[in-house]
Amino acid sequence: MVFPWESALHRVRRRARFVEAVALFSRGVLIAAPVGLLLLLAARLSPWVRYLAPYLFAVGTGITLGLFAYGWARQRMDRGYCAKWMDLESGLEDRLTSAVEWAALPERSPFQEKCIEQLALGLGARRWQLVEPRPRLTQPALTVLCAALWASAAALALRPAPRPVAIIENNAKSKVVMAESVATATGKEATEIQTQVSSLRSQELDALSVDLATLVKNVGQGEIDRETSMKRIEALRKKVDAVSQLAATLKSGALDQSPTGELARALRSGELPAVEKALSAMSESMKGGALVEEERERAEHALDMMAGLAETSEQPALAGKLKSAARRLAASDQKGAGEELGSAIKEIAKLDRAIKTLAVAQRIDKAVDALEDAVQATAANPSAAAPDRGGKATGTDGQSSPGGKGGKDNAGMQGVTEYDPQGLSPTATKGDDLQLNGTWNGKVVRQLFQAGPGAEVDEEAKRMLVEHRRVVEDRFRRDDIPEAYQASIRAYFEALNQKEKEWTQSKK
Amino acid sequence: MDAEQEVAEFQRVFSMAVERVHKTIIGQEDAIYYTLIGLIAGGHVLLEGPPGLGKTRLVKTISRIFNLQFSRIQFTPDLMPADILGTNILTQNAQGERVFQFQPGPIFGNIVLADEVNRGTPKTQSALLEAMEEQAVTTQGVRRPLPTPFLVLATQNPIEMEGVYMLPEAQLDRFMFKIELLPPPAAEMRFIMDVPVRDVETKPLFKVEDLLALQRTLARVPVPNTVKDYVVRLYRATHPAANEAPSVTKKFIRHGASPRGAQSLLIAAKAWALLSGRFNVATADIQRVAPAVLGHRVIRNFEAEAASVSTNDIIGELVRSTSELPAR
Repeated sequence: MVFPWESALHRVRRRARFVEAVALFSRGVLIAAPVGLLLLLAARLSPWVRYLAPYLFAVGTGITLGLFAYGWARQRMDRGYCAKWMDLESGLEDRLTSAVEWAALPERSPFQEKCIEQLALGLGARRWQLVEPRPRLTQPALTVLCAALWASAAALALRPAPRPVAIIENNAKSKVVMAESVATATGKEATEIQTQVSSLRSQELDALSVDLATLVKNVGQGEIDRETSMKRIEALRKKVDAVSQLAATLKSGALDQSPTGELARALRSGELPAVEKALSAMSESMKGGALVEEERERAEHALDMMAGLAETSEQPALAGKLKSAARRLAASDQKGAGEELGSAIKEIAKLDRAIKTLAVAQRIDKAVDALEDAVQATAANPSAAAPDRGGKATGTDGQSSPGGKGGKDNAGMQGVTEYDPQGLSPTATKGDDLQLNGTWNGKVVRQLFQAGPGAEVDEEAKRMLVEHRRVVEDRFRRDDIPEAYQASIRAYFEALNQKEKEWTQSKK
Repeated sequence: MDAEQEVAEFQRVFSMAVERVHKTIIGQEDAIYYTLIGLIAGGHVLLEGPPGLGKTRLVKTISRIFNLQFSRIQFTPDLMPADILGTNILTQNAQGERVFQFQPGPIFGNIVLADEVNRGTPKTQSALLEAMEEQAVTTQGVRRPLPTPFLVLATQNPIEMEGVYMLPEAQLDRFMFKIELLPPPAAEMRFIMDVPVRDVETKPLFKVEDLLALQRTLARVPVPNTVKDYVVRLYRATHPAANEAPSVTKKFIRHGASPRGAQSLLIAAKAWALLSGRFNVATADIQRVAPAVLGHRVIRNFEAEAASVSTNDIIGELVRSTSELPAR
């Protein structure tokens, strides 16, 4: 039998259940919110807390939600409690409490039956009305505030750490000031390239070398900012690439596609000018008909062999001309053979020029790369740009400090005094990441940290220490390691360095 | 007779009895109600008040209404237990033999008025209180049950301190109610002036069987568990050693109520439930009877007496501070 108070009782119980759950959640979140803020603060100070913060926030969130679930499941307000509550609100003088309790009995006395009947009739006739109590949330505003604080703190802790803005971007508008030695070295390279280019009489290479020299001069004298430098470097590199492609086309892609070709090897090894010189002399002799029989046979044999090489090197034009010269020589037409050989020499000269152009373009390309590295290094780390360590550090706007120690650039970056590029290859800041050969395992670390002075330390451990330090420095230069962690990592390697010094002293 | 009729009959009889009592007693509502409830519930009543407030007249009137055998014992210091309980006297039977024959005392009545009970010696008081509890008298090794219904209505005069023996707390606990009769207010005094000083002869309205029927009805009133729990909480609240005792208890109470007090609360509350036309006992009924039931069972400490904090004040505070909602 469904009594008229059942639905109201159910609603009150559900509300009470929710309030109970929120009350427990509130207790948890009131504690969690300040703890969360403290965690956030601690995470700014300690990398360990920062590392653990997401887990701690996850645990805290789990606990608070668990409290909510527990409050919901616990259901401390049973039917009797809610009935009594409604009784008090409705002024029913425990009629509802009694009716709810006795309605559940398998057998009821006449008085109990009458009590239930009286209440049901009274409610039906609207003699009484059930007033549903409204369970109130305790401190709802504070609970919401604390929950919001906790959620915000958790969101801050759980979001991925933003990668620090690249230093190069910070310093984009600052003038580049390179170390004198670097400026001198790059200037010297540009001058040499210009000299080499002048002998080739190539307009494209002339323009490139002039652009390179101008850029080196501007950068070396601190006349342009970093952003402009990088743009001009990029533009120059595009031009160099275009010339390189052109030269490569001239040289014929087949040259590279036939790595086994003897001619290709001769061209690569620089023998081509000698060949050209010998053939020129031979051509002149043939044109004058000065070759004796024995010399003619040797020349014919040499031309046949060279034609074979040219065919193998997939140079059909050169091979055809060499064969034709050989045939004419065999027919004792020395003059015709000399003319054919002259045509072949021209083909060889074309190849030689293309190869030289390509070589110069590659040299310019390397120079541009080096210049870019130097410019980037002045932004990332002033002392890093100096190829001669211990010399003047590069910085910006004349704020560089001698010896590469300390000093701030105009972006407020503190020069890293302990930075040492020793052992880093020129391509360390560009191209592929340095890779580690070996594992930095617990055994190695234990050896490094636990071995006292004079103790035997595995050579492998020493090698790995050096290698890891190099790689870490490489990562620093690439901004792979967030700024906030760098100090801790440096301190770690400093500690290992100290150990290394102790080994060295103990050996002495 | 179904439950509804029983309740209606209870109300009818009770209201007629009250109406009839009011013909001889002006005011003193509490005293009238609780005396009648005590009579129906089988609980003894202690009436306390200065002389001349109608204590004796109230008892006499009620006994006449229900056509009950009434006896009165005027307690004095020289009153002996045998004077109350009865004694064996040497008599001669029909055969001419001399034999001891029990002569019942005044306690063998349906309603016994123990007037100025605090004037009796402790020995005599104990004899009376023992009989009240046992509902029987044992003399010369023979147990003699007291008539049913049996109700002792004791009165005591609080103003005299000389030659009186105040009832000890343990014996006070045997009274279901202790009613304090206060001097009537001026408005009532006007009517009292018109009431004859001598007792007016009251004709019986009901038979003893009617009273026994009321007692059976009262016993059938069910009590929900939430109300029982409330009684337990209230009972516990009177004990200063209990953890859940409120501060007023710890501060002013020396000794709390007995379990018999808690039972009396429920029984008295049943009567109020019936008078309210309900088939169930409510916490409101408990709260209404609490001062009369617990007032003489809660013993104040010196601090309460020094601060003139009455037991009624304490009980009122206990009722206010005890939650009606069950514990979660």
